[in-house]
Amino acid sequence: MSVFKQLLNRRMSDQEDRLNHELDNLQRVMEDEAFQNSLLDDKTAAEVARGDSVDALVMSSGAFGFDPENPIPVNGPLGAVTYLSRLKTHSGERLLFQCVGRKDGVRVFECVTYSGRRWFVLFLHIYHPRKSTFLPDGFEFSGDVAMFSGFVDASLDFPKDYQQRVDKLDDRIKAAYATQARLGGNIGASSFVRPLAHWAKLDALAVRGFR
Amino acid sequence: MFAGCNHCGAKPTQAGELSDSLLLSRFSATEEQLAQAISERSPKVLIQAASAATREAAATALEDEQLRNLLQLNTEPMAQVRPKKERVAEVFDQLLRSTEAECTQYRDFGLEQCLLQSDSVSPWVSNERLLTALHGDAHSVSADALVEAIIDVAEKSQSIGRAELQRHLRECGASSASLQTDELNDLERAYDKSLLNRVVVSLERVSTEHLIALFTRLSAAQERRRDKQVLPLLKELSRVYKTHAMSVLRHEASNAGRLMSAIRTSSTAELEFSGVLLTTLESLLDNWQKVARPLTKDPVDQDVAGIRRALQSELQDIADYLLEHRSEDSLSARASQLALVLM
Repeated sequence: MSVFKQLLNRRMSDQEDRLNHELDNLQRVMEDEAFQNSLLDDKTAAEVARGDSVDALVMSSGAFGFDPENPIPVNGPLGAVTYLSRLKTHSGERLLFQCVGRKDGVRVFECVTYSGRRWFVLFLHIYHPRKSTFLPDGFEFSGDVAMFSGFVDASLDFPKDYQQRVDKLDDRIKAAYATQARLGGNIGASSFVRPLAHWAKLDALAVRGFR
Repeated sequence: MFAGCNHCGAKPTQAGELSDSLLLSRFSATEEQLAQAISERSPKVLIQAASAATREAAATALEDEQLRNLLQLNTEPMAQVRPKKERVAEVFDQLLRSTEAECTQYRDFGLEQCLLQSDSVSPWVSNERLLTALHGDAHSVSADALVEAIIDVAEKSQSIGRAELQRHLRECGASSASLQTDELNDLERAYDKSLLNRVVVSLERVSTEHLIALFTRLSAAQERRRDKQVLPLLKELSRVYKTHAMSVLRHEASNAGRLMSAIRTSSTAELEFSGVLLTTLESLLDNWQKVARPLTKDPVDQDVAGIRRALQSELQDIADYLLEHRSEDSLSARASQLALVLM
């Protein structure tokens, strides 16, 4: 039984219908790829519809997810957020992330574990009707419901301004985001310092034509 | 950082240049200083503030594999690349051979017999016996049986997840533990590609009539499954059909144009000849419609529709011409009817 159903069974208030409706919407935003695709703008929706329903791009090369030539196929920007929110490292740490570059259909995300100890740069290709079921090396899918924990735009204060950015989001999406308290209490502390290699990678993106 | 020289555009590539570039960008760094440092490669330009520890940190950072890859510095020697590819090829070969060995008892099964089997076998065995039977019977079985077999293979291949692949590799004695995630991805892709190739080769033995019926049904099946994900094998097969069909449709449309031109230029005295040309045109367009049918529910239909509209317009012109200039009512009516059929 999904977490949503469990929540529904436990509800006790007199606002059952409203809660029911909101939970349905929330579930669709987080899990229903067709619904996610219906939220896309016309241009992106057309590109997504034209894309291949694949786990990895044909003729791709390099490490899956880590190489711009072998990005992770996902369904639009919301698909990227859903995919990355489901990832956890082998040591069980989930990711905070933001989009820091783009070139054609490829989006670059800088990611950091909730503890701030490990930083990653991942490449995703957003013009596909569904999300890949493949995983980049060193990651696994989280078994439980993955509240969103990242953004499709960039901020210099990432991830310390997490809550402020969540507050500015569309109401339909906002509810799907993890609260700051759920992120382990590290945000705001000075534990999020990008290592030199990570800075260098962000700089090097320009060399590969990412803007 | 990693910008080019202001004078010659040269980008830092050597370890020292990259390290300087990184240090300058992180610890002092204006674009001009950076470009000057790269241009002059002079120790005087290097920032004085960078301690030995900082320099060491920069050198360590530049060893990061992903960073080197982004900077396109990974000149991995072929000797290191080859074993990776060879290892995947070797495991793939082992996987196929093991599956073939498991299927020896089904060697004499026909396609329809395979489709009736309800025994519980692994997706690998199920696919192998279906593909073997498909190849043997492709020329003789019905389009329905072909569709059923192909959809079955597509569904089975879709159902194979990472866990199933690793389980199967363990069973057939291949060491999956030594394979990296990207190698396992390569292995999955190699398997999907081999399925596609085998189906395409088998379909070469299918008559054109059956082939068109098969793809019309596959197209309808994909349409019915719209609520679900399109099976990659079906999508790839449709793509193969589209490529070939569009080439035939364009070629035949150009032949139709030639026939219409001949009808237009034939003299009034050649009424019988015009009739023969029109009969040929009718049968050509009948075939054209059949080949186009599986594509009608597809985005490529835009192309088909474009050719169709052009043909239709030309046919209507011919009908008008025959009526107005040559008073050939019956030929004009046939041309007009053809234009209507294409609508």
